[in-house]
Amino acid sequence: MAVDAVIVDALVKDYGSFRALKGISFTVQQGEVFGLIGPNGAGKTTTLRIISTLLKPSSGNVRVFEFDVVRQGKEVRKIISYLPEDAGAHKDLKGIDYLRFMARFFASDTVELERIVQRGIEIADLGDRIYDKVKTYSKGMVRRLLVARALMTEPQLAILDEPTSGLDVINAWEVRKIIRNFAAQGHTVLLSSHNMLEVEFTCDRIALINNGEIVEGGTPKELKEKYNAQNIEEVFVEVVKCSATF
Amino acid sequence: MFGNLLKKELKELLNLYSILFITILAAVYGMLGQAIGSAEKSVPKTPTIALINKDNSQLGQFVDEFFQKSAKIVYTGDSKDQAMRTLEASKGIALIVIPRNFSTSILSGIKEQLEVIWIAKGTGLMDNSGHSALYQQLEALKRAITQSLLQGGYRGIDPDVLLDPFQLKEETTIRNLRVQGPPSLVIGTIQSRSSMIPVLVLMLIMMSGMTVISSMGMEKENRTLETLLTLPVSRNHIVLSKIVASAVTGLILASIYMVGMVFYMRPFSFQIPDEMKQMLSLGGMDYALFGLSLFFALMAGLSLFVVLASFAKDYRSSQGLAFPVTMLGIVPMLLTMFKDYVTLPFALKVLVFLIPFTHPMIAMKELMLNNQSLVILGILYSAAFSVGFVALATRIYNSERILVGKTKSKKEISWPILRLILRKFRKV
Repeated sequence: MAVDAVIVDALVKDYGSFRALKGISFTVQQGEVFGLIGPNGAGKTTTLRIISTLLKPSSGNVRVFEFDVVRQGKEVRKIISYLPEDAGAHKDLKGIDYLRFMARFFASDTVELERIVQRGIEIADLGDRIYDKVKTYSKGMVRRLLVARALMTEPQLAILDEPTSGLDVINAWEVRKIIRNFAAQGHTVLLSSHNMLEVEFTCDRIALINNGEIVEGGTPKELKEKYNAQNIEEVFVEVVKCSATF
Repeated sequence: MFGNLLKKELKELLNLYSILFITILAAVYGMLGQAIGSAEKSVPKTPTIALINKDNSQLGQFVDEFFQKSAKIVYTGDSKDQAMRTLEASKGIALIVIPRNFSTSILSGIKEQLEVIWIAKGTGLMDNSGHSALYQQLEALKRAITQSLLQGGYRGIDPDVLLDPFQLKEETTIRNLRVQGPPSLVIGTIQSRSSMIPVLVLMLIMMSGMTVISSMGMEKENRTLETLLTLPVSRNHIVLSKIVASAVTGLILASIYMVGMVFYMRPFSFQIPDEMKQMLSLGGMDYALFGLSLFFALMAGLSLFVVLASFAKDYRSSQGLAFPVTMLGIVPMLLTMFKDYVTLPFALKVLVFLIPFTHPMIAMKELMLNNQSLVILGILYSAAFSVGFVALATRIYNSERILVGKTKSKKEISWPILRLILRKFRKV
């Protein structure tokens, strides 16, 4: 029986008078890659930030592997890894030193520390450039370093906000490959994207979010069949049209 | 085209916060100016003195009559202690003692000594402005004695004594200390040992503060803070590590700066008499108190900077936020140059006490004048300020404010709407 990695129940988030999330609910099962997709401003980042304990919900419940994100934030932070959209690394550190700095928060001894760093180096796959300062990296290299940072500790849940945002085709493909390899080892990934085609190829299940509401959910195959569409982009357009009609 | 660009640049640079801070600062400086101006106006043209005349002969009487006309004499008995107490009570500036053989010595061609015990209220530039009036009168007295002797036919006296009939034997009382020498030398000694402290404190606050606030601005700009806040590390540790690292950096930078300043100041202290140096020297405990005062003021400043840093959107805006705190340091620095903390008007005293940077700025002076209690009180206040602001900073870093900034709550928004509805209702 599949274990629920994330349970989001009737989640509401207000920024002052603006309601960013209007009572959304979904679950992510252990070992799957779950995609939250929608246009800019739909509420994806807000949802991921709440799950990552950065923001507090206005109402509703969120549990990560049974831990409540509000009451048990410290426990949640031990088992997750969050990669923010457009995140940066500390520019004055070398790539390897950045990985080592981050690994120290998770390693209990030097052997484990080196093991984590080694895994980070392999995931980033930057060759000798890992010994150069981050400020000399291209955008794609920084993103690979950050993805490596997020995955090297083998978190129970990796939360990736727009992991390929702003990357060229080759770098985006590399990052997607890293995520798929990570998931293939039985890890759980929750990612967001506004690139619907990308999500179709990366995720096991998806939820479509628009204007702070989950408007549809299922596997990419199920959704395409349901809406008789060629791809998820077409599904999204159909779903938004239907919700507007009602 | 140019107008469009100019409008955009002005919009970015001139914001409500910067105008508000400058306005407050201008008001504070205005208050300081008023306080200093009123202190200057309050200096009486006729000095208040006490006079002990031990010489009832010709010149003793002459000096007595001279001061009866030119000064306000509040005591004329024989007791120095009583004279000093009366002077303190009537805010007088000096006790003049005419020695027993004043007249005989001068008429015999021997230069006499007129004893003057000064009361220095403080070590600031404005604290002892009444002294100069009495110095002028003492010079006028010399001329009057010379004139009187010449008119009286005493032409056989040594011209050196005739033109300069007496010297001053000066002592200065400042708080509970009595030191041999004129007030200018005593104050100069204290100033030479403490005048650089406010500059050092300000440098320290600026260097450390800019480090911590820039670091926060960079974390926000590079989006590294978001990652840091999702790591399994206490947010208190994130705040404290920033404060302590900046304090250490600031201390190292200030130490290097001070080495240069010590070499710069060394030539200015060679004229100070050894006795005075010893009397105004500090012990081990005094240095420990000064160190604590500096440390807690630094911690207070840095915790304030960290709280302010939560308002920063990026590196550039963080620089702007550092400005008001730096200005806050300039206020006590300037004020203590003009007046001693203890001689300030009550309202200014309270205002300046509330600024934690004041305490190390005045600590060295107060310790030299044996006022340890004010220094200890300052340390306790700065420590409490630091604890309060570190707690506030931790609270902010534990909240979502650090990421999303302040958002108007529904309650806040509803008030203007409510007021509008009520206004319409009244009209109806």
